[in-house]
Amino acid sequence: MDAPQNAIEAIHLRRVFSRAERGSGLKAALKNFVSPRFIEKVAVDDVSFHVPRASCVGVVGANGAGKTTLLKMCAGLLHPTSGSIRVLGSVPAERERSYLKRIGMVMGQKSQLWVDIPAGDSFDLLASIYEVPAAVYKQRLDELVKLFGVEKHLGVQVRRLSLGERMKFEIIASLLHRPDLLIMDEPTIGLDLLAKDTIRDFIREYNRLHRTTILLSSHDMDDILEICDRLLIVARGKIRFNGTVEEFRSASHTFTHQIRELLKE
Amino acid sequence: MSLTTLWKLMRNSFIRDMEFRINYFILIFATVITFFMELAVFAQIYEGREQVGDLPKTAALGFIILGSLIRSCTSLWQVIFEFVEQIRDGSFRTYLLQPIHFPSYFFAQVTGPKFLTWTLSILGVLALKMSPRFDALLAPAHLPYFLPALALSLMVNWQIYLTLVYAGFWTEEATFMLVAFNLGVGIFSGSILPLSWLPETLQRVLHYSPLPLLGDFPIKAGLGLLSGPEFSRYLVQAVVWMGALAFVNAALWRAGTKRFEAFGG
Repeated sequence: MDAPQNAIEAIHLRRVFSRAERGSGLKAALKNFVSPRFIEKVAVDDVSFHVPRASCVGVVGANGAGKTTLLKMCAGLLHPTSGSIRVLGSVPAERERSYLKRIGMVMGQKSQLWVDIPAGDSFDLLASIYEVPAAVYKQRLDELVKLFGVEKHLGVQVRRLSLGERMKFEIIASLLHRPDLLIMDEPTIGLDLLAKDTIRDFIREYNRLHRTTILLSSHDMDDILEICDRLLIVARGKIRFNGTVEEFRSASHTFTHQIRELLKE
Repeated sequence: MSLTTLWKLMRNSFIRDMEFRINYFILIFATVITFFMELAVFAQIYEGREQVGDLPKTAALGFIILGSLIRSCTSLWQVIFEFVEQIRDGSFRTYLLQPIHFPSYFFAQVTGPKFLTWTLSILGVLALKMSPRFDALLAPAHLPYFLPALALSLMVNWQIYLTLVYAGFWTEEATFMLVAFNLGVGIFSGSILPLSWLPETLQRVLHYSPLPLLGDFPIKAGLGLLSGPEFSRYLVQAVVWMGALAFVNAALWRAGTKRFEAFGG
């Protein structure tokens, strides 16, 4: 049987969070202590979309628009409140072993490495967890470390690395098992221009060489324009645009301005 | 998870723990201080007496020493607090993204840092065995009972800690349960004082709980204070509690990961 054309297929996806809410001050704190109040927040609201295999999709949206919730549901970190999603033919929330071995996730603001020990020790462990044969692991690690130019930092504790170096190691960690889908949430956040360029070049090249489907969320429009071939614009939990970057460009000659207008809606 | 992965996990957690050298000094200092304090109080109160409660004086002395060692070998603080904190701040997601069996991962991560404590405890026992006053302590004839009792005690102990970690999926204040457990377990497991010295009603209640398995069982087995039927009863209890806790933990994991909100970007 042929593999499905789409890497991700979501139908009427919805995610609602229950959140404690209270005012500020002592009185509100006391009131909350006795009787906490919860409100419901719809983070993703009846969303349907698909992502073709081997494409590189930029997920764009304002803060709190629902981008990260969407990415987390794709990764299987969050269960949808309703609707369905299939990623690489699997239901992500079931977190089957075979599925987890086919995805990788990089979060700009959270580390998946053990921060108190050198990255090399974490890589060694990850290779074992993902059952990457020793020779293949060594070859991939050499390749990735050279590409990013971080050979001399392999023996340094992760917490002592600069943000840019750490992010390069995070990306290496998520690629050691060569996933079919790579989910990246703001991978260039807080990085300088040179580090951003290195990471952008790398992601673009990696997508081209290995035909890995990439889902990338970023607030930096240059990330999207330089790396992605498709665009998913999210505003207030709903999808405002899902198509190629070229389609979006042809609809408007001022790319960033057009996105800004969509996000304001 | 393969044995190689488990070994690498234990190795990494041991390497990480060695980064915090002062912790080891505090641990050794606290153990030695507690041990000598208990001995001094004991000597003052029971000087000249050959029987302490229902135990011969030498057995009571062995009880205090073995109890102190078992407590330092089984009590878990830092790693457990970290797991609960990771659930609270969302970084627990790393374990959900990797193809791992979390209870095995947990077991390896809490065991690694204990290597040094266990080595020091074995050396401590060997040093004490040079004095004839400690003949009853882990005599060769008691080892076939002590070792399985200790292994079962550790496994029940890890399952209880796992339950407490999973409580973090329901409450942001699960650390209070960990503190309460760590403070209470010394007394109610019979590792600070023999359970037979506690009020009878309390003893009866405790025997319906898994707590005596964590102290009373391995200590008495190590001192040869358990009759055949008592040893068998504890053995059956340990297996039943382990099965029950494993079942409860599996259910808590399924429900907890469904509730997990993976906070933060």
